[in-house]
Amino acid sequence: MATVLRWVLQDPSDANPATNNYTFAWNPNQMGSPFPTRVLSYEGTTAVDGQVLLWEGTRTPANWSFSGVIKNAAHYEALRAWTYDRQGRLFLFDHFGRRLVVVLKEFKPEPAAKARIGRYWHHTYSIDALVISISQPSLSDGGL
Amino acid sequence: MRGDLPASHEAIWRSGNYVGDDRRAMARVTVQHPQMRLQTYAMQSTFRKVPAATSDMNSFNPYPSGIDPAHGQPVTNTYADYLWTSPKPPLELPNVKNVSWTRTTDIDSAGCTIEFWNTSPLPLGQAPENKDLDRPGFYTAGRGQATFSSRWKHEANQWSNMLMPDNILRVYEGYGFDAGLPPEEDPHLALSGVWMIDEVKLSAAGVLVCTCRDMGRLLIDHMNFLPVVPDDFYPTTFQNWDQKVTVQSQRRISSTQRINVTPDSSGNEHWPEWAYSGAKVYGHTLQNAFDNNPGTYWLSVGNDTPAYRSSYEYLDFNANGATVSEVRFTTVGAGYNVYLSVMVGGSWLPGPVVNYHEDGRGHYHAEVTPYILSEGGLAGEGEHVLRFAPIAGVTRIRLWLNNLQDFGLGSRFHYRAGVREIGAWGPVDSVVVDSNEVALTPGPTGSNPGRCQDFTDIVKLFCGWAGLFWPSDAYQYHVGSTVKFPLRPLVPDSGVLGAPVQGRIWGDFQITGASPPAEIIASVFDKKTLADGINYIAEVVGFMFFIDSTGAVQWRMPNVWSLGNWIGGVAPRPGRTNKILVLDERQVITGLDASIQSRNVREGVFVANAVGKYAAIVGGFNPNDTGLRRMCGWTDENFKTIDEARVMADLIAVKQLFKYRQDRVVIPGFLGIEIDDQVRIFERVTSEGFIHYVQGVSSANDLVSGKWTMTLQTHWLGDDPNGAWVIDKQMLHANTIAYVDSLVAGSEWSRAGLGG
Repeated sequence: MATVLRWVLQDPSDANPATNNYTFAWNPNQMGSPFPTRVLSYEGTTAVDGQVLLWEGTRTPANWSFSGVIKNAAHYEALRAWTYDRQGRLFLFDHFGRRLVVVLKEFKPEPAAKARIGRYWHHTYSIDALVISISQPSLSDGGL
Repeated sequence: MRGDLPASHEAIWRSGNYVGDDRRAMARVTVQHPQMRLQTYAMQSTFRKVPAATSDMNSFNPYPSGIDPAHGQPVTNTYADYLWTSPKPPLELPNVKNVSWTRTTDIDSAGCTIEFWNTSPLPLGQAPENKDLDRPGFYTAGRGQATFSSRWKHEANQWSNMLMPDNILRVYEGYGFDAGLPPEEDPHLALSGVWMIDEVKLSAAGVLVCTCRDMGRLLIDHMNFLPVVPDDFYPTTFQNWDQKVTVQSQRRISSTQRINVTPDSSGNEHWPEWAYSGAKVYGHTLQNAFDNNPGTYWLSVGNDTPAYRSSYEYLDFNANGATVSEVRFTTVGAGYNVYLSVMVGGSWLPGPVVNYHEDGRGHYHAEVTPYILSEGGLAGEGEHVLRFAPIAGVTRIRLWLNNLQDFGLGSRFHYRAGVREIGAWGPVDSVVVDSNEVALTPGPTGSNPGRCQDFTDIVKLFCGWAGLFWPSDAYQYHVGSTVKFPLRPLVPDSGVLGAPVQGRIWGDFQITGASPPAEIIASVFDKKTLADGINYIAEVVGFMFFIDSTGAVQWRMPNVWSLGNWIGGVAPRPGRTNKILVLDERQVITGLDASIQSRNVREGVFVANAVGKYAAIVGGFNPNDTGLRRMCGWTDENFKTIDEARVMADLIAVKQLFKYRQDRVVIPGFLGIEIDDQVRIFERVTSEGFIHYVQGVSSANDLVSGKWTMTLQTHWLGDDPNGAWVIDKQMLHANTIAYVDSLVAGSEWSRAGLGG
C-alpha cells in the first residue's frame, strides 16, 4: 500500500548518519509556494505610443513557510533545533519527493490548547524558510 | 561606435524585452593582478647631440648647433606594458551587485564604481564556522593572511590580494549570458571597460565597493620624470625635423710669408778698398739689397771674367732662426748661376760645395760653403725664387752668384754680381672654417630624443612610457600557460617607436599632419603628469584623447566635422561608417532633458600668437542675433601664420555653436554608443530631431533589479542634420575646411588587422 512520503530534513554538513537527518513525526498540513518570485520591473518610453521596457533581475530565494501540528516534545524540540542549531543550508525532502535547499529562519510554535497531562506539548506551528533551490518531484499524480 | 558587439545586442536593446536568461541585462567582472613589463630597446638615432666643450672655449667646434647630423648615437628607450602580459590570469568575480561607469570627453580618466557582495555561499556539505551563515568577508583582500586571522579560522583563498588598489577589473556587459563560458568568451557580452582600482571600501555589512578609473590613470599617476621617461629622453623636448643645423669644417691652407731678415755681410768685405771701389764708388751697399727699393742694389766687386773658378760672389743675410722655404731675389742683369747655402745652429747644411778656387786671384777660399740648391742661367732680372723644403732654425743664408755680368764699370774688372732685392720666405699654415646649413635625417621619434615627425608621435611616446605599450606577444587572458585569444599587432609601429620595437601603442591614433616647428621646451612637460603633456598637445592641435571601453587610447579630431562615426572596439575592420544610431522616443528613450543656452555664444572670436603678431578674427555663431558684441579669443606662441590662427578661430567658433543646445538622454544600456559618437534623437515634446554629439555616457547596471540604463550627455551639431557637414561648411575658411578634410582622410587605426 502506497503511503505519503514523510518530510525529512537533512544536514549535508553533518557526516554522521545517526544525527544528520530528521524525519517529521507528522508532515505539515499547510505550506506556501516554494518557488522564487521573478524580479521584474518596467518603464515606459517617453512617447505616448512608445513601448514598455521590461527588465528582469536576479531571482531571489523564495520566502516560504509551512505549518502543522506538533505531536510531542521530541517533535517540538527537533523543529526548534533544526531551525536554530543548524545554521547552514539544509536539504528538505517533501512529500512530492522534491529536494529543497533551504535555510530555516524562524520556528513559531503556538500552544493549541491549555496544557494538560498527556497533551502538554500539543502545539500548532509554522516555520519560515528561504528556498535556495528546488528539484523536480519524484512522484506523479498518483503519488507513485 | 563599437564594431565588435554581439550580433543580438542591438536587436535586444531595441526590443525593450530584457527578460529571460538569454535577454536580461548582465555584467560579469574579472580581476587581475597586473605586472608592469618593461621592454627596453637599444636603438640608434639619426643624429648625435654634441655638447659644447667646456674645458677649452677656444677649441674648434664643428657643431655649433650642438648637433652632428651625419652620425647617430646609441639611444635606449623603454616602453611599459601594464595590460597584456601579466603572469597572473584574470579571475571572474561571482559576486557582482551592480556596475556603474561614466566616460566624458572633458576629463582625463573615466570612472567606474562596482559593488560586490562580500560573502560567498558555503558549499553544501561544509560546516559553518563562527555561527556564520555562509562565508562573510570572503573577497576581502587580506582575508586569512594576518596573524590574527586564526581568530575566525579564516584562510587565504584565490581572492587574497585581488580586490586591491591598482589591480585591474574588466567589465563585460550585454544582454543575456552563458554561465558555462568565461566572460571573455561569452557570446552575449562585450568588454565595456578596463579599470584600475583606485579605492576599495569594505563594510561590515558585507558589501565591497571598488572605485576605479580607466587606463588614463597610468598617464595621470606617472610623471614626466625619471624613471618613467628614459634617461636618453629626459628632459623631454620635441621639435620637428625642419631645422637645419650648422656644421663647420676646418681647412688648413699653407702659404709663404716673408721673414724678417737682416743683412749680414758679403764677399766684398774680403777685398781691399781699391778692389772694392767698384761697388762702393758707385754707392752700392749690402743694405741696398734689403731696402725694398728696386731702384737700388748691392753690387759685388769686379772680376776679369764672368766665369772663372774665382768669379763667384756672395752675400749673406741673417734669418734669425726662422723656418725658411724660399729665397726670392731680383738681379741686375740676367744669366747668373746661383747657389744657396743655409746655416742652421752655426753649421752650414751639407751638400755639394761651390766650385770656387782662388786661382791666385780670389779671396774666398775660407768662405766656400756647401749649398743645398743651385740654379743656372737665370733668365731676366727676376723675381727669381729658390724653393726648397722648409728648414727650421735658419740663422744665416748665403747666396752665391756666378756667371757674372758686365757692368762696364771701371777699366778692367767689369764682371760683377748685382742684387736689387733679396729676402727669405717661410711657410705659414692658416685654418679656414667652412660653415654649412645641413638638414637632419628624419627618424623614428622613439629613437631620436627631442625630435618628432607629428604631434601624434608625442602622444604615442607618452602612452608607451606610461604602460600602454601593446607588445607583439599580447593576449587577452590566459589560463595557466594556455594563452586565450592572442590579440597582437600584425605590424609593429617601428616608424614611430623605433626600428627594433616589437609592438605598438594600444589604441587608434589619428595623424595630425602637423609637427612643432619650434622646440616645445622641457618646462612644458617636466615633472608634470604625462596626461598634462598630452592635454597640451591636444589643445595645440584641437584633438581629443580618451580611453575607450577596451582600455585603448583614442586620439583624434573630435567627430564633429562630417556625418558618421568611427568604428571602435576590437573590430576586425575599424575605420569610419556613415551609420548614425537613431534614438527613437517610441523605442528606447525613457527620459530627455534639453537645454538651450547662450553662455558660450560670442559674436566674435580672435586667435593671436603671444606678441599679437598673427591674429585672425571670425564671426561667432549666434542663432539669435540681438546685437550683442561679445568677444573671446586665444593666444598661443605656436601660431605662426594668419591662416593657422584663422583655422583655430573657426574651430573655437564652431565649438561655441555646439554648446548652444545640449541634451541629456536616458536609454536602456547599449554598448554601441561611445563618447565622440554621433546619434540622432527624435523626441516630440522638445522638438528634438537633430544629430547630436555624445560628450558623455553614464551607465548603471544593477544586477539585483536587472535594470541597465545609460544617460547620454550630448550637444547638437547644428541645425542642418541633412547636410554633408552637420554645420554649414561654407561658413568656414577654405584652410579650415582643407585642414579638417585632411585629418579625416589621414587617419590611422593601429588596431587594424589584429593578429591572433
